[in-house]
Amino acid sequence: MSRNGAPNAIVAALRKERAGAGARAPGEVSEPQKVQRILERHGRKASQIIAILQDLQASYHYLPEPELRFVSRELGIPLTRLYAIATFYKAFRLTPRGRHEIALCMGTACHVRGAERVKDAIERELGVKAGGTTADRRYSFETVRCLGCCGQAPVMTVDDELVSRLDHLTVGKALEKYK
Amino acid sequence: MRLVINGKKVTAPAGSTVLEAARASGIDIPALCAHDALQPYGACRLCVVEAREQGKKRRRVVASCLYPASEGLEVRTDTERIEKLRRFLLELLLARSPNAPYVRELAARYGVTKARFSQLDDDCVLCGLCVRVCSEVVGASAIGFAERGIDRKVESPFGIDHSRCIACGACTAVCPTGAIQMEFTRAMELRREGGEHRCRYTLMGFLPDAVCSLNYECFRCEIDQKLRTESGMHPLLARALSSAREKQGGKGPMKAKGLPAAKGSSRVKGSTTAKGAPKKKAKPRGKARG
Repeated sequence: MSRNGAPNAIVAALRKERAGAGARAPGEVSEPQKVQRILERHGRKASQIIAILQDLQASYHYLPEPELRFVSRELGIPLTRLYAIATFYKAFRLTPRGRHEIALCMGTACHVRGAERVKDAIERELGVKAGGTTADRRYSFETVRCLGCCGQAPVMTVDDELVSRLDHLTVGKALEKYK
Repeated sequence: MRLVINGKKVTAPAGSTVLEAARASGIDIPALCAHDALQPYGACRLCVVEAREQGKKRRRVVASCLYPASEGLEVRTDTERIEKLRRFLLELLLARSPNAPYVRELAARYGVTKARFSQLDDDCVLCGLCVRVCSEVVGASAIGFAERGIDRKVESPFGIDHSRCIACGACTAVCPTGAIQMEFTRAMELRREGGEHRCRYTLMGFLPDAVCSLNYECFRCEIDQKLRTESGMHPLLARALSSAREKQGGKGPMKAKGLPAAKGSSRVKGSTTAKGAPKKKAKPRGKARG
């Protein structure tokens, strides 16, 4: 609440940190046509904002700040509104995600067959905690509840592929093929 | 339209809410998030009343700030059921903001001095007044809500982007608890940005085109003093209030329209506050008067 204007130096530092290594400067949209196409698909209607943000996230794996500003300008929706929506729904992310999304099942069946150990192994292997993204943006790792194939427990999905009958010794190797 | 509030016969114009009707006839209903210059919002729920539609049996508990007054509506604002609900709400507010004088005073008025819940120390009660003033009255939409549930808070986009804020201070003025203290900080930020310092009253639409020569030290500025004394409150709020009242007097429900800063000049015409204000540059003054 009382987040009153940080000094400019701090603001600049935060911007840099948020933009991440080698990322674009804020305010600059890499592919305006791509965003425009998404907007067109939804008739450039402000009422379609959730669908627009979903499409935006589908193509960038997260909601980048410059693109949000662009959408805000194009549709005449205040940026505060977009920010409110993007932070309200858990499905939207404002931080970059990896190229491959790992979802490890922590459901009951997987749990009794050692999902907790697999989780520790993945965390060790990638060097990030569940919910995080590796520094090279190769993997994002998160845990989920049941994936619905308890017979093959413990399981995880990497992007859309199911990887089953995991164990903590070999899971690192299984991840290697996702470049 | 005729309705009955606490046994008293009341007439209200079509399209008004129960809260408006009650207040117009001198019946006080407490409300934290209602503001005459803003659209009803229904966040605080302190304005709950029991209402029974004509011909219906059931008395429903409704938020009077949003509930439309209708012919033959029977309203009670002081039943045991309502008082109990209200005390509970105040207890929750008190648990959230135990150190906000406004909340303490409001709670004490209904006999609530202690909350049974674990306490936070957040002066912001999330009434949304600042957010709504910024979008509906100022038209800047510089602040909004972020996150959800227990994490909900008022924030500028991405937590640090103040670029839409024109340092008008309307949010600070409207905040009941003093949780928002944006104005001064943002003015300092504008100062550092350099370039042409446009007077914030120009950005608000009060002055045609003034450039600030005081380096945003508004407390030293004659225009600032004058506008504030004339209206007795924040000039933007004063203007929004008077235009809302005008509309309400005319017909139908009031509709506070967001007025973008750029469009403001057309509105200045009829406004008494802008009359006689200097048209050119604001001249530097020695010290604040008096």
